[in-house]
Amino acid sequence: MEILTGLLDGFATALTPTNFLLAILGVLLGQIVGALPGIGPSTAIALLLPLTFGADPAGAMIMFAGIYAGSHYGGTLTSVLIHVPGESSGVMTAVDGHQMARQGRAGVALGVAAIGSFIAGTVGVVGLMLLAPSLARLALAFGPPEYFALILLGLTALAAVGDSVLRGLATGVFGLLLGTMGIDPQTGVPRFHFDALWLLDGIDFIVVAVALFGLGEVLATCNLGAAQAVVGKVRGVIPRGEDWRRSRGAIARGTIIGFLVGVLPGTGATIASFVAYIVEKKVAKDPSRFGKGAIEGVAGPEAANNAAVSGAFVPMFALGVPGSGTTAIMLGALIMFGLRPGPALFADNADIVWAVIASMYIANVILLILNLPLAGLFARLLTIPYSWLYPPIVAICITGVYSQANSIADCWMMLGFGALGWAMKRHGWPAAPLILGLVLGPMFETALRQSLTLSHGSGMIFLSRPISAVLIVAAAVAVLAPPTVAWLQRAAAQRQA
Amino acid sequence: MRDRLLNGDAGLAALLGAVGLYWMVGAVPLGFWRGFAPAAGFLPFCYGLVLLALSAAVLGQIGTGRADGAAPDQAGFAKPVLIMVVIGVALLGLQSAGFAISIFLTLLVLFVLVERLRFLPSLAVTLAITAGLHLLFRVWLGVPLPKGPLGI
Repeated sequence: MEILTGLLDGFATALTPTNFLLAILGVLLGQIVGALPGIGPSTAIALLLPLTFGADPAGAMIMFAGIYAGSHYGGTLTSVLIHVPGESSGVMTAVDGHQMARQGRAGVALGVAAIGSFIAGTVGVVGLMLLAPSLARLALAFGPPEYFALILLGLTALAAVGDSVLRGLATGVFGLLLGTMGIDPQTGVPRFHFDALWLLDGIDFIVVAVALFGLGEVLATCNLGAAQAVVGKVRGVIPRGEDWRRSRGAIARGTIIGFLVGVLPGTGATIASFVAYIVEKKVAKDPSRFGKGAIEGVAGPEAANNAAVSGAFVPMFALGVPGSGTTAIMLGALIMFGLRPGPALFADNADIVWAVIASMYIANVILLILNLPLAGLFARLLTIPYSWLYPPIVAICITGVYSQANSIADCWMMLGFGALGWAMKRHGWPAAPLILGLVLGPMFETALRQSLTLSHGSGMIFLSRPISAVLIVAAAVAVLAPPTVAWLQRAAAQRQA
Repeated sequence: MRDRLLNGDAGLAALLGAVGLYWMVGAVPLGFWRGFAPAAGFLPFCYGLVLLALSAAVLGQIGTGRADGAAPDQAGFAKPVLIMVVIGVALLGLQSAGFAISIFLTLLVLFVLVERLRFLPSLAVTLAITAGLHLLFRVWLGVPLPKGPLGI
C-alpha cells in the first residue's frame, strides 16, 4: 500500500508539465548521445549538471533518468544501421542486428529492440520499485570472488561468438591482453605503455569498438560502391509470427539477466548484454544462426541493457553506491542538490525517489511511441547507395573517437585498429570477443587479485562462497557441456551404426 | 600448403602470436607473484602464452587445410587502402587545419575522388554533414574540437 501511495505521488510529480517536458527532453537527448560514439549518457549528464545548479532536483533527476534510458536505444540505432556501437552495451546488438539490416530486416530489428526495451525497462522499474531493499542486500553479498566468478561466466562467451571457436578465443584473449595496458590498478606500475604518456590510461574500449565495427566494416564493404548496403527489400517493423515467437523468450530472459546484473555495482548494461547474448546462443536450437541475423541476438541483449538501467538504480537509491558509471554521475548530482544517497533517501526524500521511478515508466512509454513509428524510416536509410553512406560514417567515427578524450592519438589508434578490423572481417575472425576481453579483462584481473589477497593466496575462496561456487560451476558447464554433448551424440550414433 | 600459409589469415595468426610472445617477454620483469596474490606480470604472461598457443593452433589449422569458419572475402585492396590514406591525411591536418576543414575535405575527397560521384550533390552533402557534426559536437555538446586558422 505504501508503495502504491508513493508511486501515485511520484506520477503526480512526474506528470507536471515541466517535468513531463524534461522527461521527453531527456529521452531525446539520450537517444542522440547514445547514437554518437564517444559521447555516452555519463558525458551528457556531466555536461548538463552545471546547468541544473539551483534547479528543482526532481526535474533534473527526471531528465537524467530519461537520458540514461534513451541512450541505450540510441546506441541500438547505430549498431543496427551502420554497425557502429554508440554505446558499449550495443556491441552484441551490432553482431546480429546489422546482419538483419543487411538482409532488409532493419525495421524488424529496430522494432524488436524498441518493444523488448519497453518490456524490459517497464519490468525493470517494477523490480526496482518492489525489490530494491532486498536486492540491495544481495548486492552487498557480492565481493571480489563473486565478481571474479561472474566475469569468468561472461568470458565463456569468447568461444560462443563467431563461426570459428579457435579464432574467437584468440581474439578474445587478445582483448584480455590489451586490457592489461596502462597502469596496473593494484600496484600502480605502468605496463605495456610503450613509453607513451597517452597509453598510461590504457586503451579505451570505444576507440577499439568504433574502429573494429565501424571503420573495419566500412573498409570491408566499401567495394559495394553504388550498390545498396541492403540485400533485400526493407520490410515492416513489428515482429510477427516466427520472429515474435523467437523474440519473446529472449526478451523475458534478457530482462531477468539485465536487471540482476545491473543491480551489481560496477557491472552495468555492457556485461548484462554480453551474458544475455551467450544465454540466447546456448539455449537456441540452432546456434549457427547467431552472427548471421538471429533475432534473438538482438532481442536478448536489448532487453538486458534496458533492464540493467533500472537495476543500476537499485544500489544507487538503496545503498548510495553507483550501479554503473552513469549512476555514479547521478549520485554526484544528488549530493550536489543537498540530498543524502543511501537507505535514508527513501525516508527523507521519498518524493524525489518516487518521481524518478515514475518518470522511468514514462520514459519507457515515450521511447516506444517515438521509436516504433520511426524504426521503418531509419531502416530506409540503408536503401541509400553505400558510396553515399560510408563517408559520413567515417566522419562520425573520427569525430566520436576524438570527442571521447580530445586525443588525436586515439584517432590514430582507431585507424590502426580499423585496418585490423578489416583484416579480421576479411578472414572471418570475430571482433566481438576482442571487445568482450577488453571490457572484462581489467575487472577480471582486479577481482582475481583482490580475492586471492583476501584469502591469503588460497584458491578455495572461489568454491567456499556459495554464489561464487554456483557461478563457477555454471561457467564450467557452459564450457564443457557442448563438446561433451557432441561426444555423447557421436558415440550414440556409432553404437547405432 | 605454401599458398595457404602466405595469406592474410596466416598473417593475422602470426601477428597475434608475435604480440603474445612480446607480452610474455614484457611480463617477466613485472614479476609473477607478490605476497598472497599475482603480481602485475602474472596475467599478462598467461594471456601471452595462451594467445601464442592459439595462434599456433590456427596456423596449424591453416597449414593442414582444415576449414574453421568463413571463407575469406575476395574483394579488392585498392579502395580500402585509399580510404585509409585519406583518413590518415585528415588526421595529420586535424589539429592544424581544424576539425571543420579536415572533415569537409575528407568527405569531399571520398565522395568526388574515391567514389567519383557528381560534384554538386557531393558538395551539398559534405556541407550538410560537416555543419551537422559541428553543431552537434562543438556547439551543442561543447566538445572542444580543434580549431583551424579560420576559427572553426
